[in-house]
Amino acid sequence: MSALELRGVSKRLGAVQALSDVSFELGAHEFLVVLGPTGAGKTTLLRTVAGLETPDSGVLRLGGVDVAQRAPAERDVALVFQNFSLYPSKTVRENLAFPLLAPGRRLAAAEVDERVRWAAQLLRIERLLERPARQLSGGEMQRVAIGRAIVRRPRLFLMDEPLTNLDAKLREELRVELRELARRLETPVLWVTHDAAEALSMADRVAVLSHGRILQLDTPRTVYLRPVSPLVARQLGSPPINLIEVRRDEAGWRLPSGEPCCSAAGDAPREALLGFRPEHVRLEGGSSDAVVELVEHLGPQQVVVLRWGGATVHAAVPSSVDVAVHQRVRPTVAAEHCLVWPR
Amino acid sequence: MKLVRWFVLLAYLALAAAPLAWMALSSLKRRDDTIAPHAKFLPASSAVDDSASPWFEATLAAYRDLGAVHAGAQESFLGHLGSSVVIGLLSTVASVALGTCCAYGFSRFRVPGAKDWLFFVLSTRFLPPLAVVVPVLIMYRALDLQGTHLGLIVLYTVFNLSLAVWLMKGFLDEIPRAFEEAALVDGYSRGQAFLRVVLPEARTGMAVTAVFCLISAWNEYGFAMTLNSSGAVTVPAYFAGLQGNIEGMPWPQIAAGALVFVAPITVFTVLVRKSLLRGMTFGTIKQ
Repeated sequence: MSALELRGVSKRLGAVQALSDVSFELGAHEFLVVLGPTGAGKTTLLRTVAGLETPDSGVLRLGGVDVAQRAPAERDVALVFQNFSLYPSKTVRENLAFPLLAPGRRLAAAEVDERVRWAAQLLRIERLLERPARQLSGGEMQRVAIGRAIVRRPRLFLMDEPLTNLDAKLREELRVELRELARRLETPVLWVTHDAAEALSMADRVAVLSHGRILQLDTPRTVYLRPVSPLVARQLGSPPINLIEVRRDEAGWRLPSGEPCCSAAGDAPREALLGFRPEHVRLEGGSSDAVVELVEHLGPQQVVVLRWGGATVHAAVPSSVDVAVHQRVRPTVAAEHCLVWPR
Repeated sequence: MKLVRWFVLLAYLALAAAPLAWMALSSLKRRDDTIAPHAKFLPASSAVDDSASPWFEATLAAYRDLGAVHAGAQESFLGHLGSSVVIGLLSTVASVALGTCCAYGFSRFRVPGAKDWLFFVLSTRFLPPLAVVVPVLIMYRALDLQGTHLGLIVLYTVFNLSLAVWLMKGFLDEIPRAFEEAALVDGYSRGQAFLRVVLPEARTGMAVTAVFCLISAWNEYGFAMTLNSSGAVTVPAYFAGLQGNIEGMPWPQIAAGALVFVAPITVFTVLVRKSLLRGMTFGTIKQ
């Protein structure tokens, strides 16, 4: 049985259709990342699952039970907020114990202590326990906030961009750690982010959300390599995917000014939007010329900006490749890496 | 520049403190010294014979006398202070409690016509309260509330409620909604979240609101005089009622009583002074 199931869930907030007809299932141990830009409806989705918003229509099942009209307290899910983490006037220990002391839970004091200690150990924050929350650093706060979620051992974690406000190094550290933690706790996670790298690295499956609709829901690999639409393709990958308007003739795809760029299937449309990832562009072996406009070194690879057949194309090539500005190259893209959407 | 600032501050302090200082001096005098033709403003430790001298013999007799019943009154100062305390505290507690609950509703829920309601609440302060003294008097006579503690408690609560609602709304708006939402998801009900999460965070705001309500109830004179000229008479009305009695005004005792009367308000205000400014601006100053 799926841990969470949404069927046709819609929610309007004022003039904005925050969610429209959202349907998906979350497996019992699954780590599902919802990816989307600001305003896509990610937070509304989490709040609806948590019970802080009531859906206008649709079915919302937790463990097979329809909970759309139930109070948040009855749902036994844990939500980590993006911009709120802790009660500033309470200590870390009090913050961690707070969810356990909810009247409906009726836990013995010893059990509360035990669980707080367990969570603190797991997140390596034992030495912070007696500290007032307002004295913590951003990273420590977020650890405690996640601690607040795990002490209850809820049936589902909802994470609203928990790493967004942290610096890059800490973010990567916690990413690995939290992925591992979720696996160990065997609890499903619905994780929301606008960071594609985060989505691709953490998720079992990625749901791409835009204007309240799920555009694609699949494994990170499929979503990255076989996006169903240019909109999805654009949300993943850095540098972003190249999207060029092309025409087809006997020789294959032709760039806006007529140069050939790669071969095309015979049944492809005559006019199309061609997408290919920068790392799939090779700088030699092609049949038309391009000029290097810019080279940006990123350590292991370099991003080369090309002017090619009337279009600007990004190529990501290993740093070992010798390339300079104004140099002429003959780029090419293998046909299997080309994504084609009819225009 | 700094010198000028100090000069202005000192000048203002002297001006503001002079009446209090005079009251303090008066409270140490005997009655004859308070109404002597020559001003007496220097306390001495022994008797002074020269009636033209600014020296007078300091004594604590007026303070010892606070428990005495003077001509023109039914009770001693301490008795009336008791009435003031009961009425002031209970009406403050009621205003803050009702105001906080009401403000929470406006702050957190979609109330239809919320702006109009809030304006209505505020509009109850547009009219000078004394303009309604006659209807209130008639009402209180019919309800037999004249001269009772309850009458003034209800009245002061009503008058202070609009202020309490607006002040508390400012303070509650500043507490992130996520505080309660986290508690809701954690398994608390709305009421429990309010008690366990919102109230502790709103303590400062409630203290500030309480100061404003208490000051206004504590010092209220017009209604106290009209409705409660007998029975539960508060201190301001008691002092005023001493006028025209056959023994004359007991000035040292009035001075001593007035000083005792302002002391609790002073202490309370000093305790929350840091938050007062936020209160005066309806909480719009961010910390």
